Amino acid sequence: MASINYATREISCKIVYYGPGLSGKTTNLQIIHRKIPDKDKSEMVSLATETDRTLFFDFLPLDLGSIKGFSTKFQLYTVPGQVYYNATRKLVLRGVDGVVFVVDSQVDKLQENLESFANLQENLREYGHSIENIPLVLQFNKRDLPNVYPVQQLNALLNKHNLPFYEAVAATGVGVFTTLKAIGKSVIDKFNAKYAGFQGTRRPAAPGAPQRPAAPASPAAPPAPQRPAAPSAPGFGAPGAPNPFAGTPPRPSGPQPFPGNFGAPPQPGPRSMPAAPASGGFGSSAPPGGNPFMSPPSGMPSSSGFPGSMPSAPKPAPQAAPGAPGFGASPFGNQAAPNAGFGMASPNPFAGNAPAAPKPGFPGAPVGGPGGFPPYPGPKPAAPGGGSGPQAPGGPPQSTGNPGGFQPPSFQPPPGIPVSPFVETFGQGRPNAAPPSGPAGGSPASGGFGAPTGGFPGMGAPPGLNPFAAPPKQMQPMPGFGAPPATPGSAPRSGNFATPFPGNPGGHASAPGGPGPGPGFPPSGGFGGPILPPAGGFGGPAFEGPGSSFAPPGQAPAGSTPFPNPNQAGPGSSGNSGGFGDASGIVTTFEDLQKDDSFKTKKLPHPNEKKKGFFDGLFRKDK
Amino acid sequence: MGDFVVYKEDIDRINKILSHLITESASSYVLLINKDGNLISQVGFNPNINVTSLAALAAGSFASTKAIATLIGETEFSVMFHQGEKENIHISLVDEDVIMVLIFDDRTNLGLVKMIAAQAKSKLGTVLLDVRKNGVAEMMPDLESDHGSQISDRIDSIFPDNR
Repeated sequence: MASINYATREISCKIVYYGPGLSGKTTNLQIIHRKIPDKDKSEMVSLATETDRTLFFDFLPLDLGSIKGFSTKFQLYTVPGQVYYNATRKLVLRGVDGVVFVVDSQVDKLQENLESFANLQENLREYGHSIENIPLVLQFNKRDLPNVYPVQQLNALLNKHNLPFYEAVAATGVGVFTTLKAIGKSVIDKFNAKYAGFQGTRRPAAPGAPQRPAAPASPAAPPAPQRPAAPSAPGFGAPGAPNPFAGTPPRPSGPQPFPGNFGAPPQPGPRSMPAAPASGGFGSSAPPGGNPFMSPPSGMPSSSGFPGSMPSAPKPAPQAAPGAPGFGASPFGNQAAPNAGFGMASPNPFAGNAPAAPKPGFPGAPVGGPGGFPPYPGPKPAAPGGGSGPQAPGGPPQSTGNPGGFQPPSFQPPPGIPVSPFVETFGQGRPNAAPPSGPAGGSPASGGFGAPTGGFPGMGAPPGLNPFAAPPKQMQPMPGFGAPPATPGSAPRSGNFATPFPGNPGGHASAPGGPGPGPGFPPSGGFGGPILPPAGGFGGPAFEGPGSSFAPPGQAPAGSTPFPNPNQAGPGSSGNSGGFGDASGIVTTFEDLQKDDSFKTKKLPHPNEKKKGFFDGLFRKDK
Repeated sequence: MGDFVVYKEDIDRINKILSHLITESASSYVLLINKDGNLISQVGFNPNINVTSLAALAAGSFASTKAIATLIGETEFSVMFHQGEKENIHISLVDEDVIMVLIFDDRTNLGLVKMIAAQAKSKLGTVLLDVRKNGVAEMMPDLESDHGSQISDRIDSIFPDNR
């Protein structure tokens, strides 16, 4: 069963070297592999035991180059010869186009040869082939050994079907290529015979009747379009277009199975597929056929490109259906996929909770503009704009935290912009990293990589971030920023839990209604990382009471209690300027923290100290 | 079983689905192969993976697990997952003859990949139903000429010393 790919214009045929164990099948492939010129060198895969017995198969792709516009490829396989590997042999035979039966010419191997050949017949039968209908050549191998049958005798013994046979000494390469040429020619001839004179049709004419196109298609084929998405407007899409396959010799005389259906005459071949369905079709949320943007102008190879070439790229909004969650709707998906590839607008359903979805209406919540990528705390600030806006559609503008400034403060996501429900904010996207109290954060549709709210449809991926760059391993998501800003005033003392160790990701603080959305957060989530360890932790001045719901940086909110360090009493006191307890709540750097005396002044007693003293006393008493 | 014939329109449809799959599952690479080990399509970022070998081996791997499945009374396993230190491979059956191979790393997770792959599977199934109805179009290499001899010549030209 050859594979014919008209998109890549490739024909791929599978040739299996069969035969008893140790007859030289793998050797054949090794020789071929060794002799392939370096420029065409392909890798040979051997699944072998430590003693180089083939365990599963050997595999060698052989590219014969373009022949009449079609790149012809042979995939050469061997099977394990041992009798007890029959299951594996059968697997390898699947989809075979041609077989080379490698015979061990030695006298004492005759029985094995016969058994193997019988086994080949049996296995072929299971796949619906037979010796007669599949290209098969024999290779009498090991002709250099002393104790071998004469060729005529061997042929009489084995070749009951009058198959072509070739002598070989595979170990030295003799006869290997003769055999390869023979089977190659045989396979291709068979292939051609199958389709000889066949002018072809793209699909069997009658829908639902899966007839093989063994005969030239009848011009009287039913005019019904084969695919439901076919646009009905004449002149739409393909009909007048030249065949998109470059280099295809036009065959004006070819039968045209769907005459008049789409005004077909100009179309060279009988293929009648209108172009539009291919691009309008599947996975796209646009109504098939109804979208003028989906159909390339005639004359242009239809839907030529990758999916990314969706012509609607510049204006994804109007036709994208807001529904279709999970698949298809996101214009970002289409655009980012082929080029930026994965990883960027990448959707993670489990991550929607991340920096996302501040409560609508909460003023000034530091919705991390760059927040799409908070966990990359590297020097790379999150790119402006692109990922911004973990904003619920329709939510209030929240641009405070967006250093990129890309997001217009008053931007309202237009309705209908698809929101991919799978949103990943990198690193935040760890499943279960969801802070329990994430306010409204649960809705993945509203969270995360808020493509829609970014409002810049053209931006598949935030510039400046290499989509292919794997996140550095050591940069674990540091939710210094991560958790959704909690309602101010909730859990006011949560800062207590945030130990000032730099290693602490601050998760404590930010998770259960952390210190609040205010200035305690690093100015942008994107920067928040190890260098701002306690950001979530102490940063927030632990607002108490709803009255002090928000304090801009550098300004002590009235009534707020700063970090509950006894050395730092009172709101707004800043005994350590720039320190973590600063009323402003802005924690600057770890160095500042180290300078902070408040850490050093209070020394906890060693837990064992008292005990030690107690025993010491006892001992002293004894003495 | 007829030849597997796939056209550009089919590939476009398939690639669109695969692109979505890649994007939504945050995978790095996806291959669509058939059980014979032939590559049908590929989408994603390919850091020098030998795709041909990967296709052959994945098909072989799938085939061998099918044998395992029959041993325990299953027809075949529809999903396989290989976990590596960094890269993982998720292999799933799309229809009776086509296998999807997804390569992903720790930027995503298995649950997501499985879910998205399952969605893509049903969509791909629809396309592949169409593909199965494909016949060979008009553009075969010139069938009247001695194509087979050209193969011999080509082999000769590739291996000039071994006529």
